[in-house]
Amino acid sequence: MRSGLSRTEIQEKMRELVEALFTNIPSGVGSHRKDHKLNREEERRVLKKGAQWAVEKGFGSAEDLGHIEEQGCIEGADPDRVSEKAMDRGRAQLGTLGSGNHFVEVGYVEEVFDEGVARALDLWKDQVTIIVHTGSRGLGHQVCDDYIRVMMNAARKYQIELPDPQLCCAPISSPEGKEYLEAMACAANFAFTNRQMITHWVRETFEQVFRKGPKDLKLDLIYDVCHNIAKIEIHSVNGKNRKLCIHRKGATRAFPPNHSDIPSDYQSIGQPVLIPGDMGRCSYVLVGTERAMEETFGSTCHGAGRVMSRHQAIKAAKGRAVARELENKGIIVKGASRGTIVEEIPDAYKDVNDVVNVVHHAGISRKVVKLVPMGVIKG
Amino acid sequence: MKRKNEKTFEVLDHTADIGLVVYGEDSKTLFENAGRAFFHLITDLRKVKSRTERQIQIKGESLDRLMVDWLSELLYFHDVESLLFKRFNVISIGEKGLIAIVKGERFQEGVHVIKTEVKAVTYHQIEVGQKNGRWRAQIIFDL
Repeated sequence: MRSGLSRTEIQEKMRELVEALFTNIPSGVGSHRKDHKLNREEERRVLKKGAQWAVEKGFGSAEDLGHIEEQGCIEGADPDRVSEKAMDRGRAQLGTLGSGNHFVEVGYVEEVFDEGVARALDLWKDQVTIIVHTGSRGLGHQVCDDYIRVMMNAARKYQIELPDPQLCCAPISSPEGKEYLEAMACAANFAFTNRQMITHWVRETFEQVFRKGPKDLKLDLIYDVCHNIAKIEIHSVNGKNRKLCIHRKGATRAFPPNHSDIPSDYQSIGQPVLIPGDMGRCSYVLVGTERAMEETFGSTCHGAGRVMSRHQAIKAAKGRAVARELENKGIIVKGASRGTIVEEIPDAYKDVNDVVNVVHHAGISRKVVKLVPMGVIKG
Repeated sequence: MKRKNEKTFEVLDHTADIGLVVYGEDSKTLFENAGRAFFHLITDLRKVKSRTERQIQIKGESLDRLMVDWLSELLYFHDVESLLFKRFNVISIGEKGLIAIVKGERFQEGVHVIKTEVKAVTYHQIEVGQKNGRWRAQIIFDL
């Protein structure tokens, strides 16, 4: 999200803002909004309609949908393909951030690399921005668990040899393959909804803390895109257009200008790509390129990637006041527990600047602006 | 009986994820120790009391699947009811599956800590079996 605020307007209130975000956006184990309850029927509608459900319920506006991949709803989602257990886990967790590497980050534009594209995205130096990173939560994990069992049997049935049981699979056109894609679409729609609800609570929190209305705050969604998902897309292979199932894991979509699947107002610049770094360094906004279509099926990296295991990170952080270290750099961090902050210390990640320069120079996405964090909440 | 100074589990280091190697003198203790080791990753078990219990019943086809399903079932209760378990009693275990009673309590802010949020139990590099007269399991978790 971008805003109509500049860094200096919010600096003084960062502590209050981070505390308020942490209160308003459920993050830790078992936490949920008291004003939000979901029954089973309603949850089925979430899985079918995705972010459109959220907008109908008053979370954000129809304008947001135009800036979400697939308008926040992947077609073909069939809630009957999702187990009761997955539904249970989903009901408990819709509208929650979750921990691990999930976060909400308030930052500002520190550097502009491409003036023209930045202007088209209405991004300018020192402007306040917000990144929301979360997904399908326990529902998605349960769908995965359930279908791993299906796929293990399917792999035997279709005589697919596996180097590791976790890699079990089935042909896309098989009944098992089709059913999985219908279930996966439900998980993706859950994730779109989850992010839409959190986006709405971010806006409410800004209104509360800065006592300004939506027109002054201008918290507009730049783009919402998935990673870790399989999509049916048309790509050119050896000069021929073919319908393919593109599985992006550790990758995100980076479609070029003039692609029919990106919003009309981004047709001339390409799809916005968001690459978050660790909470102590920075994050980037990039745009997709024609080169990505030619070389990586319209994909680029989705984050910095870890260099330290969580245990190494905990060891490296021993005796250190991580929150204080970050505060000294001007970044206020609040997590549900020290553990989840310590695991995510900046040293545990590759330097996102290096990673982004690689994809930029490889031409599979192009740098637009660099964002520097000011406040982060984590589960 | 647990022999003195004998480790029941070790944590495996993995860049993106985390793993456990669990030991037991028979399959029953192996599964009980795996449950305990799993919640040791999630929380500080010293702060958890056995206030409530759940019965767990799993049909199994192989020990690998049984282990993944057992820990996934515990994770399900953790996710949906915010339960933290510390006592694991496997009543029966065999080719047909597993029945267990597990005890613990609901997560309480300020009382309990969450060390790691586990997203899923995976089949990646799964190993469950007997080695040199001792039962051993290796499980990798998605974080």
